[in-house]
Amino acid sequence: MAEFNETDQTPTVDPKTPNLGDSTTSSQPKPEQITTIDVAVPIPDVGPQLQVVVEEFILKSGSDDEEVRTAATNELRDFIEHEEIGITTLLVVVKYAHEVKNVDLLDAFCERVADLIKDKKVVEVREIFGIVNDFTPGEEQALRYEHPWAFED
Amino acid sequence: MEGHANSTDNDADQIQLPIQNCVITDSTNQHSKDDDQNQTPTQNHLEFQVIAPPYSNQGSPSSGSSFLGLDDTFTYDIHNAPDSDSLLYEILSRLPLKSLFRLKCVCKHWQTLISQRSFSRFYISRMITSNTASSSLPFRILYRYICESEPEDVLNRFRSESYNSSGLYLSREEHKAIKFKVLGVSNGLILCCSLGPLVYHVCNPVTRQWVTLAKSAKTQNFFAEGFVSRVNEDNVVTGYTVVRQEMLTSLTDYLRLEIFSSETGEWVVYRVPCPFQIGFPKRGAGPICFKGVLHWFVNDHGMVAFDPYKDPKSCRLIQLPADRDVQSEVTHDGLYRLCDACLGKLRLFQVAPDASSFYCFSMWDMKDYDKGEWCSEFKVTRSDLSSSDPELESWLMKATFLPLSFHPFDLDIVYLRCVELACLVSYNIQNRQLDVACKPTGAIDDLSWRVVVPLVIPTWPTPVPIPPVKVVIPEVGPLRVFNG
Repeated sequence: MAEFNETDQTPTVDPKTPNLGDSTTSSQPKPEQITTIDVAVPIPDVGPQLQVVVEEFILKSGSDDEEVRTAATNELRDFIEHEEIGITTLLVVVKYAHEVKNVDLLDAFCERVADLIKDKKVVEVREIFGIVNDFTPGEEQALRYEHPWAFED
Repeated sequence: MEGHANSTDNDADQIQLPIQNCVITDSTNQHSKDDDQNQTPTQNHLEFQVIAPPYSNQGSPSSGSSFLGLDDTFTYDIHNAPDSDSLLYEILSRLPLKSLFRLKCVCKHWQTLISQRSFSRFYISRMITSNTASSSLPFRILYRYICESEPEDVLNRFRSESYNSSGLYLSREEHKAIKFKVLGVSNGLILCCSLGPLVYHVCNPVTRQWVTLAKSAKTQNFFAEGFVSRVNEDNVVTGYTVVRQEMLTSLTDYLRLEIFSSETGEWVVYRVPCPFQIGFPKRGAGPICFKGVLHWFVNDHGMVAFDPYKDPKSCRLIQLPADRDVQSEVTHDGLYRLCDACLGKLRLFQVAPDASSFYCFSMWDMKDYDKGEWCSEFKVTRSDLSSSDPELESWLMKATFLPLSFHPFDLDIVYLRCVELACLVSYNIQNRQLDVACKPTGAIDDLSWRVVVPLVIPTWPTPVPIPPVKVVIPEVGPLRVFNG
């Protein structure tokens, strides 16, 4: 996993937008330039396509225009849904969004993770998160009795 | 006052079967506009304990196909990463309640996290203040009469899953006998009664807990029940009271009330003197609850207010606005006047029954509750109204509207029934626009504010306090031995 520099939030850096490196102009970078930008907090390796999408989104989410932000969010949500991104990858972006404190990015990806796990069985969720069951059968049963309404179909 | 079985609003004397299962839902994207709103805590304000998980790094979890093909090579361990609980908060708080409580079984860490007070607070505040389209707070304007005969089926009517569809609908069942009536809603709990014989129940629509209250010794006519509950700082209900009035047909200068408390499990009768002689409307309705105080409508004076938690027991008369149409109130027994608590405000919305009246809609808000002072918010004429629906637009100058309910979360919306078009409309206070909210099939002749109640599914399940049961040991006769 990429190491993040936890103390990288200098006062001059807007946490929502990546540092554009040496660029001193205020114009948006052209798409072909994005892969060469040095970001202050680098996006972890999620594959080229998703990386581009996330970086573009971060740029747009820093916009002052609410319409731009809303459109970007909708685009991102559509993309996440259609591409059927795996939960592991989603979680990587969730963690990244949390670190760079991009609320909209975090929201979109967390929603998707929640959507994917909400109907899953308990054993499936354990598998996804790599969790070992530390309940005894008796304890788990007691928990089911505590909230029977949650286990009804 | 009439009892429950005849509480239809039909002016004719014959008993018309009310519409079965009228339900209107709307899950538009609304936020509560309460000033006392909790702020959404950001990650920086979370207070929680990071509990070290008892397990170590697992291999890469299989999570279905990833178009990037990275799941095989990438190891992600959300639990050993720093701030992992913060991330779990973000993910789990977006789950529906049922999934959330089910996933307590995943592991002890998740169970502890979900059971934490800080998590439930985070969940509730996120639900309320979130403005994403998918997490709108659903509600239902429920028709009070339910023709199911079993508690299970009644609870199914309140299921939150069926609220999540957007748009309003009004459904109808075959004519069946009314078995249950919804009397009141308070802090996520529903007071209802089964009819014939009259038995009261308090239930939680989310946890499906169902508590039947002890019967009162009084069998004569106590009706118009009010339901008030108290919550602690975690929004968990600590206790509730049910207050009902004795049916008094003539003028009286005292209230005769019977009060049930979940703390004692008993019904107690009180006689509360009134400052003035009061008379109740012919067709009684339950009281409205505002700031924990119950208000019943009384003729001429307005409302009589009673706080069941205040001692000594007393009542107060609150006048309705003097510049309202008192005459139509008397003629139509209050049918065209909607008065209810709405997001912390006490509000009165009156409709002129006659199309030729100058003003069509008038609204007042209570500005000073202690002094009982109202403030007129607006009066609009029919020519002020507009509609995007062509048929409704053509009827605006002559249609009859009956007020039904305020929108539980939007101070700008009032729901009414358009009699001639037999549909439900929403009135937007800001732009004075009427829109068709839903067109039901079948007759909705008796649909008025008296027979509907807004039902909001609470964002967090609260247990129903169970009243203590007085154990009466019957006299034991001679022992009988049964053969076989």
